[in-house]
Amino acid sequence: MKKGWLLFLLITGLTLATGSTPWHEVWEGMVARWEGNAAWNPLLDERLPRLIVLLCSGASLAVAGAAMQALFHNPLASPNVLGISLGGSLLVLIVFITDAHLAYPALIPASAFFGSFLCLLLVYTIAKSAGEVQLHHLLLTGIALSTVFLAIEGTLLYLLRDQSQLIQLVTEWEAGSSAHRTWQHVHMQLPLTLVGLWGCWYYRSTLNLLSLGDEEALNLGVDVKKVRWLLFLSVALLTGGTLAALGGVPFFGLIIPHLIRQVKGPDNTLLLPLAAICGALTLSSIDLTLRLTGMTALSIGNLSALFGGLFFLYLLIKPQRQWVKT
Amino acid sequence: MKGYAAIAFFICTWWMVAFWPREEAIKACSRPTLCGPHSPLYDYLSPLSRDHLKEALQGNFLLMADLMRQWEVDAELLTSHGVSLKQALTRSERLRAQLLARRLTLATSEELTSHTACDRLPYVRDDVGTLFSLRYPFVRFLPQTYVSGGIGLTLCPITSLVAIHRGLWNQPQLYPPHRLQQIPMTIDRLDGEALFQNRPDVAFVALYSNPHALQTLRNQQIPLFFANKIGSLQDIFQTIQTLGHVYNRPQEAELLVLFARAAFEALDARVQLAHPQKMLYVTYRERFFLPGNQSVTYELLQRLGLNSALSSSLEGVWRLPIDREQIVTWGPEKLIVSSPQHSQNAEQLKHDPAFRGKEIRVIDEDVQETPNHFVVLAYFDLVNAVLGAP
Repeated sequence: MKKGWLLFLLITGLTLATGSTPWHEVWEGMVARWEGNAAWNPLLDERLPRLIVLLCSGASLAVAGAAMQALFHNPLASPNVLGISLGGSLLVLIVFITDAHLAYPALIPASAFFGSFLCLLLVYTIAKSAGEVQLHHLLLTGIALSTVFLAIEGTLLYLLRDQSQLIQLVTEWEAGSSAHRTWQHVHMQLPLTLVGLWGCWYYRSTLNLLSLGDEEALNLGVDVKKVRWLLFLSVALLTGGTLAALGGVPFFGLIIPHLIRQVKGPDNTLLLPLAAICGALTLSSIDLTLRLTGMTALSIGNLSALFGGLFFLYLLIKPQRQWVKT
Repeated sequence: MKGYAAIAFFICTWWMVAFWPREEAIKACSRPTLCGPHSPLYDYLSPLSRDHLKEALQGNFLLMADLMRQWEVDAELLTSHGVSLKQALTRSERLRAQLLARRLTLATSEELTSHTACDRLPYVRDDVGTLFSLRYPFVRFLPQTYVSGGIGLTLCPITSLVAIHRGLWNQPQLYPPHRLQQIPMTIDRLDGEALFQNRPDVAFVALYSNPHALQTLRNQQIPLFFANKIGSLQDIFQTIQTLGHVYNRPQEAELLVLFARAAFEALDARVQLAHPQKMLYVTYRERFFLPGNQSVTYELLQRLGLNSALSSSLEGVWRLPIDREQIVTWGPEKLIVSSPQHSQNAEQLKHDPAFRGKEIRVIDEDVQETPNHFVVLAYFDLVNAVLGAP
């Protein structure tokens, strides 16, 4: 526990300390802010919002992944694998194309949430139409919907390929970069993350029962439909918040809960808080590493997609183990 | 149901409080005429109007000559008051410009044809080293790039262009749409049959042109003239001259280059009267960038002494990302932001707490990045931003 706090302090401290402004200037600015001077300060107005966005995003994706893996009874479920992020991305892209976000910034998180939620419902409904939700149905539905969303997104971008600034904006956003995160991004994400995390935390014990299967959960007195609906909402809030504030970070929600489950077991009362903390710290560490090593050409999303993709392949290829139920 | 409503209320209230529009009105800074409060000598200089400059660059040769005459008088005036000026044009070049302008506006078409035949080179070499014979005059042209399209629109009659890049339609501030409408094709994906019907004598392309478009042109045996060397002002002037010969408009091209050089000289003279100020030029598209030394903008900035303290990190790149904190640390008094026209994002920078108390001038990025003779207008906007009253 003590080590965990030390690690947390180390990563957040380094994230806040890393920058090009001399420390004495940062300190003077903070003192001036305290005395009522509203001048911009690199620590308070750039590094701190960036850290909050990173912590929220890491926690959101990891918890969303853990909740989905429990909901769908399989370790391969995550917002990205089932195409949910792409649903959100598509609506955000439409907002970017119409420039509506310039007048109404809240449209970005709102569209990311609605896109993710609608996509999640769609994946579940289609997979469920063949009877009980099977792993391969779920994955195939996710792949099919991802392909459709990608095709629509590709068509829109192809039609607008001459608009270089839009292409650049979308490329950077899809790459999941933490550059230029401000309090605006915090405001976009934080309410969604708080509600989403609360929703998952509230149903942490129920998730354990749902992992046994719908019938068993029903027999144990769980209102399966209501809980599932609320968890869908929570997952969509978490995914949408991250999409809005940071952009695409593929596979992150797959890896973190999976690794924690390997170490600590599948009990969601322990898994969810651990996933939140580890996710937050891991994402912040990746960003810190990129900044400290000066690898500005890469984004968090690039690295997450690369390593997450390899990890996903490993999960597919490794000898099949029985999915442990609580 | 109450629970859902409470959650929706919580989120919407948060967003309303966070994103409620501010009352400060965003006023665009419109400054059609170059002005500066720095020196009383400004009052005696000719008014340098952006509209006039643009009109001349769009092909009004008489206006070119008129403006050049005014700038010559300005230069003499400044010199007589002890301002040391670097002359870009020689006396004979100034006279040549006047002669060309009068010839182009007063001579009959037969006389012009005869002069063109005399001035036109027999051969030119394109940017990939191919020797191009100009023995017979070309009549129909397909400028596939922004560079050649912009130059062609100024030098040639509109009917001689068979197609134009679609991107030029997005820059009505430089290329009037009513002129573009007269061109039969827009280059998007070249339609082989339409190309065959409008068959051009020569196509101006670049190494970075769309490979499929190049292949389509090659398939129809249309001669390809590569013009892609536009890394400096000198390159741009050279390209105008060369394309002028291919376009069968060598006199117009020569005058255009002389006018552009004179305009730079006139703008430089005005900059000399300004008080030095710590300024930074950035392009802004969700992120900030500094133009690298591979770009023409960098050369313009060097000319004005902007961003020079950061030049060591800008070697060998087109542009370099820079974050808000680095800008604030560098501490410019004035920030010149190049951003797409009417970009609300750039206007919002005026309310960014990071730049509170600093002067922010937003200029049109399309004009700044135009790789042809409109670079003069880009320089005008830069100089205007540098000189502009606070």
